[in-house]
Amino acid sequence: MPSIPETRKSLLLEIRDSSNRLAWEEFVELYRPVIYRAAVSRGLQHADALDLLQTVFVAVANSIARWEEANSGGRFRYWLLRVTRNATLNALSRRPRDSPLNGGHRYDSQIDLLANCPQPDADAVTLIDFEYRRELYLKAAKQVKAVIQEDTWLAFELTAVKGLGHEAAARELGKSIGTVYASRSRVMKRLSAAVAQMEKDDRED
Amino acid sequence: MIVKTKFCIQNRLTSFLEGDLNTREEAEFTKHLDQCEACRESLEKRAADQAIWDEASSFLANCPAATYDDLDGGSERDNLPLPVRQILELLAPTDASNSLGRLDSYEVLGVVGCGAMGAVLKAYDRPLDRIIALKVMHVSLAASGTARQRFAREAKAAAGVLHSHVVAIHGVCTTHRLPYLVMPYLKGPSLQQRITENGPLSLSEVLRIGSQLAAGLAAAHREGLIHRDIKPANIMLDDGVENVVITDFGLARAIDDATMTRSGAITGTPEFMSPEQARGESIAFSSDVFSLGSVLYVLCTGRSPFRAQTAFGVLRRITDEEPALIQELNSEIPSWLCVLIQRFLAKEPDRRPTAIEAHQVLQDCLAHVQQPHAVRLPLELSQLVSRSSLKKTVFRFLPLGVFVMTISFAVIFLSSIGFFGPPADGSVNSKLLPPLSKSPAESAMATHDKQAVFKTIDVPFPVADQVGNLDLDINRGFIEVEGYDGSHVVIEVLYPPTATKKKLTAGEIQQKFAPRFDFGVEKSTNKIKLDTYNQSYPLNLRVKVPVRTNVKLDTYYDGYLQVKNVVGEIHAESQNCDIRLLQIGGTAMASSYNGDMMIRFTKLADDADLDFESYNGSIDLQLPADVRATIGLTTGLGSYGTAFEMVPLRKMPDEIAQRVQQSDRAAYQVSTVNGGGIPIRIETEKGDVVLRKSPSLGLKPE
Repeated sequence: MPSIPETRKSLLLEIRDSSNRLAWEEFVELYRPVIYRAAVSRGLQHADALDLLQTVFVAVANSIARWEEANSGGRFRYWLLRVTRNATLNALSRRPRDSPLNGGHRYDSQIDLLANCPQPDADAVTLIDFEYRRELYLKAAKQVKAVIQEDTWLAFELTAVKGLGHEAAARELGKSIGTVYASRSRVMKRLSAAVAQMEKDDRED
Repeated sequence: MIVKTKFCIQNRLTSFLEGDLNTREEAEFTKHLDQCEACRESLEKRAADQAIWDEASSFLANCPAATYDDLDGGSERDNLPLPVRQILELLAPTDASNSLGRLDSYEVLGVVGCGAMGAVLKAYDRPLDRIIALKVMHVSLAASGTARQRFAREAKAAAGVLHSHVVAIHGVCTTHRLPYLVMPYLKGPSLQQRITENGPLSLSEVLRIGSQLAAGLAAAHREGLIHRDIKPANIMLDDGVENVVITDFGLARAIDDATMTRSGAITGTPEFMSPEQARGESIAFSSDVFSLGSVLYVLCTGRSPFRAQTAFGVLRRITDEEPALIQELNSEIPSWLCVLIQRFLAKEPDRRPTAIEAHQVLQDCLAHVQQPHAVRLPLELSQLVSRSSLKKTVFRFLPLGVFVMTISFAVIFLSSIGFFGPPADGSVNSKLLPPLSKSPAESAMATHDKQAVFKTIDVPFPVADQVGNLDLDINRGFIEVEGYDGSHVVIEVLYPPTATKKKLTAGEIQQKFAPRFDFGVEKSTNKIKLDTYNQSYPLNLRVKVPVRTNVKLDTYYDGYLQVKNVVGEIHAESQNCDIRLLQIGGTAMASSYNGDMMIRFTKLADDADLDFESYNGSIDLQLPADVRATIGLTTGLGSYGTAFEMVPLRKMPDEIAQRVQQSDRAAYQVSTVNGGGIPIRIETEKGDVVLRKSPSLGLKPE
């Protein structure tokens, strides 16, 4: 997503604390796809989803300086998560107003986005949580895959993801059935540990 | 068979998962798993709960196709065609991650496609913070001076065509080593892709797309521009399939200059060429209409009308042969449409309809298809069908509905000043005006008093004691509404400024600039409505209404909205235009993107509820003394997506801060400062104004 890296860079200047800056970058990395996918599954077009994404992050980033003034202690990431979730909910729950000429979308002022959503739309809440969890898994899978032997990963992927039977997977990989069980369990162990860790990072600081 | 061994001990399972076993132990353990189903089960349970297994498998298996990573879309350079690689190599270095390189201020993010003329790149326009498409001339073509010049000339002409079915040109650069055009990024698909994937379209889709294409061509032809390369690949479906956009206007000639040095050397597919093009003769607007006919043929049948193994064969068929009958390929297409397309495909240019005629007849056909009992097929078509040997179609005709009365207007040409005298001084309460440097809204609005009247519409209104509703919606131009003590609504349609400058005769103006709009009176709601369509020139309106009228105005760009001396409800909405509400009393709502706002009330009910929104523009609001009103004010960054693509932003704020300041005149000046612009200002003498706004704006009730 092209405009985001730029935006992220300029938005970073808003953040004074360098550890917050790092946290923000990591956070954006994780949350971008979540918002995008949530927006798309709410029926937004690609471009509109990107627009919404941009709006949310600009709004959130602009509020960071204010937050830093008011708070010196930690819990930055948790705060980010809350604010972003709110902004996304607001943006998703709100119907874009139509424009007279080309049917383009406009959203209300980003300032309003940060306000607490008075009646959060239950579907949107579920959707964001769902996409958030999906992203944790995707990210964790990437991490685990990078550090584990290919065959080990494949034993997991073929059986758990692609739905192949254990014996078929063993034949495909030319391994014993015991190895398939051993491998996939080991991957799963790491995967769930990675997910849990990321979740923990987000919830507390 | 269950073999109980020493491995069936749970801490082995844990040790294994943690990787605490040595190589030999691991091998033994794995071997044991080959046999022991109990251990397999325990191991999996210990690795993660069943719920986690399920979750992992569902998330990792069913990720939607458009995952975020796909969007980053950096293309593999090595797989790109040579001309594209040549262009990419000439881009300036960049330090933006994800960018393939820089062309002036644009960060190139990916390659959209490659055509005969150049490559289309997806790029990020940093100053305006938007995604755009760059059409960059091929390096080999850019080396030809003639081609460059032609490119520049045609691109500038294409930029002059402002029409919803013609791609907008944001900018042209011809000085760079790589000449390029800046256009909106259209995701597509193209009509070509649509046909390839889905085959022929339905009848109403064919007519709708055809009528939009003809409208776009007509707009270009009015500007003296011939497209030359109308084909399904150059037509993009925007917004699903609701809106088609013609791209690549007038650029084909630039290629001709560089490549057609020898006769017969033709680039690309000639399948959609006109016979005169195929013969290499000079061409006129009618050539585009032929190509439009070929496109319609493809939409109906799924295949192009003139097909052959070689380019030469195609050309010969275009010049000498009639295409296969459409109904033989798709029996669902009615005879009248086949006949109409045949007319477009007439070998002699003079026998084809013009683009405007084509648009009109396609639109009428569409209306007929949508409401076969209420709308008759265009007369000339039914006659054509009855003359042709094709089977006849029976049409029924029913009278039009009675609720909407269409007014035919007397056309009056006045040579000098319009109906109204100069506007009365609008600066009531001007003494209260703070030393605000001249309001942006004021300075932006030029006076158009000298503009001559093109048409006058005079309608008795309202009926008896009813309050009248005036609803004017135009795309370009200004609207000035003024209340007066009378009972008629008088709308003056003014000459487009360019028309008066050029000193054309009335007939010429009628032909060239005639504003086109729908006008009607809805008696049941006592409402006057005016909408424009296909508007290439500003439609300027000066309107006189009874003082008690509800006014709803909408314009998009190239103008402003002004309402003066009106007591009814006012609703003004604009993008890119200023809004000025003067001497108004009653309720008002205004919203403007990229425009400034100036609002002056004469009187205000105590319970008045006002709402003003301005994105990227200032609000200057002045209230009468001692009012108590609820006022919603919003200013700040709007969304900067598609809505702003037609015009540059006034200024992109880089910082948002809030400030509430008490002025020395017992008034409240509230501003949001966005990079040094966009003030909101409210002034009351001793006012008691309640400001209702989100807390983040920092406004507090006083």
